Amino acid sequence: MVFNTGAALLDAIVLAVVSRTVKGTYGYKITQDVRGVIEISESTLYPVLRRLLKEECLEVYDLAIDGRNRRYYRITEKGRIQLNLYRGEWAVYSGRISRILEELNDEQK
Amino acid sequence: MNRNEFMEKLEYLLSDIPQEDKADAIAYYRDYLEEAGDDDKKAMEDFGSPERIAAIIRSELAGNLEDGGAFTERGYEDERFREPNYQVAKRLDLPEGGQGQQEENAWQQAPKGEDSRQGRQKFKTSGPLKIVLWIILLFVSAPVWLGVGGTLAGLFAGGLGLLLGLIILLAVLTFALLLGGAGLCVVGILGMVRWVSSGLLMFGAGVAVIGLGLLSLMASIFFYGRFIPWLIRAGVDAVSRLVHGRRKGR
Repeated sequence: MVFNTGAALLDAIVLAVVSRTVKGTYGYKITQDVRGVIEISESTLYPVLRRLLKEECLEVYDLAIDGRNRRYYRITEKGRIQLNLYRGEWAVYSGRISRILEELNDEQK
Repeated sequence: MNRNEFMEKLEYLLSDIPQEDKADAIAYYRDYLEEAGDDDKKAMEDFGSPERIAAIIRSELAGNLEDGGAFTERGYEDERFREPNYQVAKRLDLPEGGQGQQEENAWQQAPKGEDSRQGRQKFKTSGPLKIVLWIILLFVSAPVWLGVGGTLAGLFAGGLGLLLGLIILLAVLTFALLLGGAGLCVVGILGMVRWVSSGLLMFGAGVAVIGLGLLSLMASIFFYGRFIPWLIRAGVDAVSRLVHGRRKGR
């Protein structure tokens, strides 16, 4: 990828991925889903998830799967508000960037 | 390194962080590798090393992850976590390219022959660095060489003085003998006009002195032409060997 993704955009992507399922999702799945969109290393998300938990945008609960506990991450109300804010900002930002990049000059119009 | 070895190493590396944070991190990464299933080798390769993961966890706890990391074309990357244990080696590294991949896996292969030999080569000291190290050594060992070295320096200075004396003496002697011989010859020839016998004696002595002068001249030619250059070369050689290390085949 040529363009760098900042911490805020990474937060937004993770929140969006987690919010797609009501019952939440787990660390490995989140990482693979995010990797489907942008290139990140497998070790990237633990600090990000920790930060989002600390900011109470996410919450965790354990669910027994195949005789062991799997830690699920679920979006909180605060997280949803944050995600909506990110969505609005992104729409404006990406719209402007797209416009300037796709703009044709006068002769081509 | 399999999954369990990786986790054991990580657990060991995190022994000194708060219990709760440690349990949390261990649980996350253990889960992660278990979920990865057959892909866990790939995941661990991507993790880099237990040391790298431990460094990331620690840094997040210390609260300085916020402004360190950034997304690049290689994913979320933080310069500080590239190779926590190989940074020093990387800086001293000379050849670029092809090295990166090897270093990334260095934690897995480090004790094996080929790699450890390469590791040693990385720390080969450069010329200027060697000079600096020598200067430091000189300062540190001052008490020793002030005693022993003082005596040696005295001997050296004495030898140098002797040499200088010899150089001057030989030149003066040669010059004086030749000049004196020539003078005696001239006086002898002039004297022959009045008293043939004493003039002849004088002339003979003059020739003998010129002979001695020529002998001395030969000695000086050898001394200045051969011995002094040899001495200088030997001295320069000794100094350069001290600085650049012993040359092979010498």
